[in-house]
Amino acid sequence: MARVRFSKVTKRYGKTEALRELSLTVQDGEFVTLLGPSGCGKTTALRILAGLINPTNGDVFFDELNITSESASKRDIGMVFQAYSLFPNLTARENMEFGLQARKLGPLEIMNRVNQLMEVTGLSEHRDKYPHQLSGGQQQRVALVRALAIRPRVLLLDEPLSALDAQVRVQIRDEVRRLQREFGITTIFVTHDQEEAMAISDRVGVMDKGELLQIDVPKKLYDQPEHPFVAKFFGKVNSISAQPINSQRVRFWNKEYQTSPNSPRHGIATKSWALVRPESIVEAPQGQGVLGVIKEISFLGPLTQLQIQVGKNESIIMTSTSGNVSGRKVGDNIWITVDAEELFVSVE
Amino acid sequence: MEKLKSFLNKSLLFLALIIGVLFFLLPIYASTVFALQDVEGNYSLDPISRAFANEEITRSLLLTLRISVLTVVLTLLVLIPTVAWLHIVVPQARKFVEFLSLLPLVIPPIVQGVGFLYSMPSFLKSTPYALVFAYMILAMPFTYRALDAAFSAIDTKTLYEASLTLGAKWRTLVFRILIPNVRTGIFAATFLILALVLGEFAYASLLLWDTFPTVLAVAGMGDASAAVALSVLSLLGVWLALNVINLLNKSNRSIVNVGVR
Repeated sequence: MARVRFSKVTKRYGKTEALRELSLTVQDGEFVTLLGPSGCGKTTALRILAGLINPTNGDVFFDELNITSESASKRDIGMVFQAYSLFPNLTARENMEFGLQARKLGPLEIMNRVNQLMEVTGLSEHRDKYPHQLSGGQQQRVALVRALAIRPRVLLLDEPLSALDAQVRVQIRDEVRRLQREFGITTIFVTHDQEEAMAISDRVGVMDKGELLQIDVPKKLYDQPEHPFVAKFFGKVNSISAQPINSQRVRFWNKEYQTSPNSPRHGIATKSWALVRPESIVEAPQGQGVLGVIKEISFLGPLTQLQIQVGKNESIIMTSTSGNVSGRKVGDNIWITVDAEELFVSVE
Repeated sequence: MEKLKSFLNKSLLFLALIIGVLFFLLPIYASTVFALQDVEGNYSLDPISRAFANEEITRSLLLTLRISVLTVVLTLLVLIPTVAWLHIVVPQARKFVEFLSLLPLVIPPIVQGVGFLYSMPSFLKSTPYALVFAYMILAMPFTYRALDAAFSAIDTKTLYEASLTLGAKWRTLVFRILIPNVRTGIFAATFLILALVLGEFAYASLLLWDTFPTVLAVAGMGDASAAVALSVLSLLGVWLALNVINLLNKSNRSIVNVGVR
């Protein structure tokens, strides 16, 4: 196991900057997720750490050891890829043994390690099957075991769940987290799915356009975003047009609100938007807040999501416990307000 | 109406199949009859015995087989790493290389032959094995495509990266992962080279080497039935080789032809 450190790592392809001065430390045994849309640089960062591509500038460290120029085969990393990467001509068991054989371990040691992992993951019954005889989920589990069998210093997961259906995705996601905790392996996971990131990570780093915008525990990212992109990408958010009063206060829907200290300064801004989570929108007593019309109601089990039109073209998403809005129907008028002490406000 | 349409479609397909089969089989049948039938209408294997008694023919056949094997070995040695490299490192260059590989089909053999003769190092000019290099180029449109298709059927880059991160060396990657997974392409390329070299006339004739096809052409002037008998035999040989390759390939097909779910 190792502590991983990126120090001002940049990757350029011609004039395009895929990764810009990434500095990040992942503690020993920590599970960190890099989250962002396609092309944000998260996979580039992971591949640089794996040694599959070289950075243009900057260094990568395992503990205090600079591994920037070390070849991928000597970095002692386990990696699970987005594409199914099992060797088609080898059985599940042979795939799991591959890395151990490459390390020239004895047959007894190889057998013990693989048997132990197969038991833990319930793959024993599939050991003699070839990859094309396994389902997508089983293939990714074998790939995970293959990566863990070599007892890597760092485990890298490059969107390994993205090709799987929803149910299998959740199962394997939980399994990944369980195994990571059990073995205490420093893990870096790359995904564009914020729900997945929230569910399994110790910390989540949100990336956009090659930059790491914010890294923190999921709750803090959700509650206290430091960047409009983070607020919008990490969970659902309503952008409500707001009038700046001064650098600490904005006004909308007939009420003034305190801006969060993380918000960019907006004293001189002409336009600003309050970013409000759907669960912070609540029903207001008649005549207070703002009047809207319910355009759509989506029942989500314990919660119900309402889409409310405010004014001519402002569409607001509100989530509420299903019991609270059970009598509502599409076309009803509804008074709403924001129930939050501080709001993150972005400016133009 | 639908039934009639379907019947007509099937009949047309069947007719096309019959015409196709006849197109291929009739000349072979006619050649066999011509080779083995004497003037009185009796069949005998004498023409074959006569052909094999001709030392020049057997010598040229052995030479051609040696050239074939060398061409296969050298082509695979050059092309497997090249195609793998193209898939792993510069996939964007694949289209251009594919275009290059097709050039031997559009440049006339006479131009290729003369160019080859001029560009060849002088020590190669004195040996018939110089033809190996000519045949490597001549077979390129087929061999490159066969191997490229095989490498495309697997996710070469991901397999390479997976083996690298697991600590494997190049040798392990090539012999344990890549070659077993592109076996179909290797067999196809091998067969195509064998078929091409056993029948290639233009280059050998231009460069004045006595290979099996050129000797056969000369022998045909003196003893036509023996030459035709040998042609039919070589055709049978290639057909047998194809079946052996297919059998070898089938035993591994369930593993090689992967379809990930």
